[in-house]
Amino acid sequence: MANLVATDLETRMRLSAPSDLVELRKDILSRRDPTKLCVTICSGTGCHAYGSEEVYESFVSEIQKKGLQKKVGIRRTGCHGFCERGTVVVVFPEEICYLHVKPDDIPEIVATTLTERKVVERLLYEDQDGQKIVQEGDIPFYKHQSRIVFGNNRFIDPKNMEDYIALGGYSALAKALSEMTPELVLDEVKKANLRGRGGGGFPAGVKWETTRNAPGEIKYVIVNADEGDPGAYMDRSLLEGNPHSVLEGLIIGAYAIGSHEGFIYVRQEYPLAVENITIALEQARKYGLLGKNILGSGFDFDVRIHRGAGAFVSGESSALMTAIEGRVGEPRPKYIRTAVSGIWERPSNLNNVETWATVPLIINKGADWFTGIGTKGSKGTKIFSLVGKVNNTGLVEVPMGMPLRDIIYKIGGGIRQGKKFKAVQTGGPSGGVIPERLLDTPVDFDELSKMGSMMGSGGMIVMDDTTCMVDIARYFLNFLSDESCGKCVPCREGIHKMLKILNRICAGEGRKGDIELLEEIAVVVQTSALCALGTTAPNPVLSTIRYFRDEYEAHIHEKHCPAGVCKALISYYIQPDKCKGCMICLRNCPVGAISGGKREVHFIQQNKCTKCGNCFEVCPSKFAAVTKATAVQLAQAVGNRD
Amino acid sequence: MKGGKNMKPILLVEDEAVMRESIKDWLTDIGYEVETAEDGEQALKTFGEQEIGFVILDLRLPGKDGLEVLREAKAKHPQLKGVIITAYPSVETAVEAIKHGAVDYLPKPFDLNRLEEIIRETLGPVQIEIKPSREVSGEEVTLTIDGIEVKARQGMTVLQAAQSVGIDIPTLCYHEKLTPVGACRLCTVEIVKGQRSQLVTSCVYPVEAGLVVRTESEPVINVRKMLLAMMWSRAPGVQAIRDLCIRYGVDRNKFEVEPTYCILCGLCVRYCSEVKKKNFIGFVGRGTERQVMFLPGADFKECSKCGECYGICPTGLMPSNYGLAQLPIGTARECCVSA
Amino acid sequence: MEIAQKAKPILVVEDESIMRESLRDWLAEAGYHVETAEESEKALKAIAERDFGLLILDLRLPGTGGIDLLRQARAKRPQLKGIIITAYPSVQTAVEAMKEGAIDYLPKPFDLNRLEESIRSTLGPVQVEIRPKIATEKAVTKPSVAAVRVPKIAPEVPKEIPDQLRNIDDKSALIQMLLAIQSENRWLSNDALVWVSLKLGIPLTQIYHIATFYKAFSLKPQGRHSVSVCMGTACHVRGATGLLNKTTDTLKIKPGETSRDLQFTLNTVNCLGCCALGPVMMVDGKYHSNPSAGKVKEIFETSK
Repeated sequence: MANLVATDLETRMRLSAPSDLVELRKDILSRRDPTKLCVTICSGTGCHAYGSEEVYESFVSEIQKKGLQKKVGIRRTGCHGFCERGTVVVVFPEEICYLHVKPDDIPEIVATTLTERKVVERLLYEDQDGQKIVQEGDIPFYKHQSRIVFGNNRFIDPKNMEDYIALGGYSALAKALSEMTPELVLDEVKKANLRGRGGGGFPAGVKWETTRNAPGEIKYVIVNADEGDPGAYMDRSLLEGNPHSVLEGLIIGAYAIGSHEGFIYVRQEYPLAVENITIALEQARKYGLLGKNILGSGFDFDVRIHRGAGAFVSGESSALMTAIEGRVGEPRPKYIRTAVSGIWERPSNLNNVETWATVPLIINKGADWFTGIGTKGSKGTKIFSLVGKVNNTGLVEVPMGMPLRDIIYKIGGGIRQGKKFKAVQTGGPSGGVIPERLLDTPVDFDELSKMGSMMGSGGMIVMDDTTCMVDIARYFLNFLSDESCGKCVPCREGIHKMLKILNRICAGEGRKGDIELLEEIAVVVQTSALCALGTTAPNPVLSTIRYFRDEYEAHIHEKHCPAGVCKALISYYIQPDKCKGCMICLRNCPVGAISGGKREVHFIQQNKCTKCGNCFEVCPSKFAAVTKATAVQLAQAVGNRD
Repeated sequence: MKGGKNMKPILLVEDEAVMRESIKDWLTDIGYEVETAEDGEQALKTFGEQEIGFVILDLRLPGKDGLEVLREAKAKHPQLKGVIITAYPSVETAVEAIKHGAVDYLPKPFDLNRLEEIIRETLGPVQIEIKPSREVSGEEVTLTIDGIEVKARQGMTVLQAAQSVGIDIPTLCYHEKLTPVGACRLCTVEIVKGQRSQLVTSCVYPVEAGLVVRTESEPVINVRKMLLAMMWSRAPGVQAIRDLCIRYGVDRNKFEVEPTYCILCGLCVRYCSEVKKKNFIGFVGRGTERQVMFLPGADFKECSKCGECYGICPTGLMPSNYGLAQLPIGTARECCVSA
Repeated sequence: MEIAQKAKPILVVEDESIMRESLRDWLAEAGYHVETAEESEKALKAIAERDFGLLILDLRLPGTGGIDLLRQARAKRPQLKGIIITAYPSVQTAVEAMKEGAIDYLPKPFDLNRLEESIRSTLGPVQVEIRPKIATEKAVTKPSVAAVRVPKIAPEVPKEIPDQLRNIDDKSALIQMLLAIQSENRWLSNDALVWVSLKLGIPLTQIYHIATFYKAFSLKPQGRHSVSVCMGTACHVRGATGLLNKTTDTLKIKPGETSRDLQFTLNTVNCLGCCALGPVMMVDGKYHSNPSAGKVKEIFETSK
């Protein structure tokens, strides 16, 4: 009997025609009151780390305590993007945006905003002029963005498909299946010139067409959610925050390509993404949006989730496909494209999360709308993770072609602690650094490549003058030597040799000719490595040499690290005239290298010092007595003292 | 290639495609002739049509199960020998199977070597021959290598085409019997298509009609020199690398010596897997940590009898590598402490 | 009972007295002539002296086991038939017994009807047939014939294999299986890898390659609490190295190591995907943004 009921319910839920979807949406909207008070709590990774779960619990108990359950809705949403100021809470319908919300603030929000309908001033955003901003959209961080792909995150509870459908979700799929042939869908995506948002920017439509035309009945479509680029997390936030948008794009793509089986490859570091997409798949199956005869169109399609096991190289398309087959995720020679011979040597089309999530928009609003945004060669918007030494870190979505300066200063609010901008790194380990003089370059696929960097998946790491560029090159090579699969000689040995050279430069043992040797190795690795990880591995080295050769030279010839980062080249020194003898650094020194007493000038014994930097960090900023000095400076300073 | 010319074929009855294909591949590789069927009906039909020497039956099949099929087949062909395999072993079906005349009953997963033993006891051994890894039978194409017009067949690689006319492209990881992997990259060549030229790895790059290949152009030589200098620092003193260093005028002091001797060409790994079908050697780790390892706890009696991988090691230092890779394998004792 | 007396006797070899006696009683009641032995040596002596029609042998006997005993007996008298009974059934011993010429193999507790069927098929029916209705009840209610659960799958599955994996044999599931085993046990033991290798028909060397290739796997037992310090670019430029130093100072272990009390395993990861908050560390799935040295200590203390 129980079975009968369940089956009956399931058949009633199944949408067997596009009109059913329209009805379902009407039904959902009729149950919702747009004027009703609703508290949304960002539960993206950033806010989660700041304790959004506790904030949510506090809201639930406080609202219960005040008996407001009927009047006020609560919803946990995906990432809003403004991770710097988490936990982000938005109160609808007015869209009052509170930042840095802590559990202690909840009683006040409930009493003031939810009961008295007044704003809690102290939790609002405050601009440079001290002006308070009430609505999310008016905050400069958001005002300069155009969040067409990412924006819905903030309205949606990712575990509830109704939220997505209420916003018009799956209407693009219905349109594609009922009004368009696969060829028309393909044409639209080609016309939109949608370029893959995961790396090289290969036109998605062309790739789809190759897969569609490749011989073989069975074809696969794949979502690449391996997002291994350090510094990028937009794919994670999309998959966690709005999984159905990715799924809808994937189904549309499968329809255009003629595929009936899809994979979603998620890195294991993203358990919440796995959880949310798993729920999304179950819901979509229940509603008949996955499985046999989707929306009564006769088109069958289903998806499996494959968890990665922690390897950057698995993001490379052939390696990812090998991993899905259950083998070691090593790249293989790609003279025959994966679009023709991928998983189990069958035509396989791979795009990343953001690319798939863009597809429904193109189908709904048309290629003309999409090509209206962006630059000549790069259409639409791109999500960047704006991180590093910038004031407003977070995920930002901007039209292609916005100058770097606008992104960093208008949206990012400039450099932290009033320091000086030095460079911005894009494209992850395959990308490069961009110096200040190129800040007005419009950001798109081609311009970034011209500057010796690349779009990659959209990491944008801002660096100030306390970042050493040799150290950054070393950092990336260290990363790559750990992540290279080790199969081919140029990548395995080339990275190793370059890293050794950079290590010695940073250790103050750089030799004349090291820069040239680095360049020589770099060219060989670029031209002869097996996969994209290898051929792009020298980019961080080449681009730092290209724009910051003087820093390399300072390290090698003067044994000087201008940014004061390379430990071997600096010493910590307490300026006697500034030291107030507060004992803080003395107590924090792990090796007891600091001598002195209360109200007595402190002194670092250099032979004991391990250069951990604790003293530098803890010295109160009003004194700023601890400084970094090069060997020469130290000798001078000590000399003066004596 | 077919070793068992006078041998009756084996019939494999298994509904699950992956399992069916992998057992079939395994047996075919050894040299047996294998027929397959997906269910009992199909299997019984095959028995009617040809003489089967041995039957491998999955227990659970759609329609008639493996035991019924065996019983019916034995009724008609009393000499037939067969084995039952199953992912759902039970004492009851095991007893039934042998009562019905199965020679053995193997719960999945089973060691394929065990299956081979059983078959060998019944059918006798096959003569193993090594087949070239790539059988080439495509259409003929013409390409130009170093100015020489070369006729090749589609499916061949540029390296094979070059070798067929005596052009020597250096390589340390290629072997004609093994799947090429493009690991050492020494066989890098320059190809020209219209205006564009590109460096490709000739051991994996397929021939195309009209392709122009330069095997010793300047960019090619620069790549080889650098790669050789790197390899020398890992395997100093190795004859094969020394010879190539001399051929290309490589400065052998370019990099500090950091000997590991193994250059990770993977020939031994592929030989043990593809030719010997033993998989006693494998890679472990990744990046600069990558190493060649012998199976932990493997029975080296077989290795000492075979030793064929010694012969193909380009460094010739294989034996000294025997003790190299040690896995950081945990022990049950440590596990107990942690639990 | 005259006719029954003509049939050759049955020898029951069973070390457990209650089982031995109840079998004897029941068979005698059913009209067979029964002798018993409680261990192999005595049984072999009896077989050498007398001509038995059938042996009923317990699998596990002191000294020579039931299968060996059957082999030795049949070496002397090839016509001799045997039935193996056991409280420890396994597919492996079942196959072995049958190959040695047993006519049946019965896991205890067994249905006496079934035993009788087997006996009858060998010795022919006894004339005085007592339908063993009562006897069946007797056997079922006997407390001594312990009900041993018959394992549904090959018994050699190592304990660390999670249940949901036991029936997978799709090669492409390999990495997913290893992830499940790792998360269940916090490491991959050699036993587990060998089992997976046999189960999926993938060479062990390839499995070791995968187990050492991916960061998620560990070939050594990991600590109860997992500490990951993010080394991503965004964290790097905001002081990941400093955070790592604080962590190693507090835990007194280096990245990749496990503390001696097996409480903590410290790892560096190349990006936790939490870049806006850098530098970040994750302890048991919980993210901590730029904690001070004191805070680091506190985090570890509270998670113990």
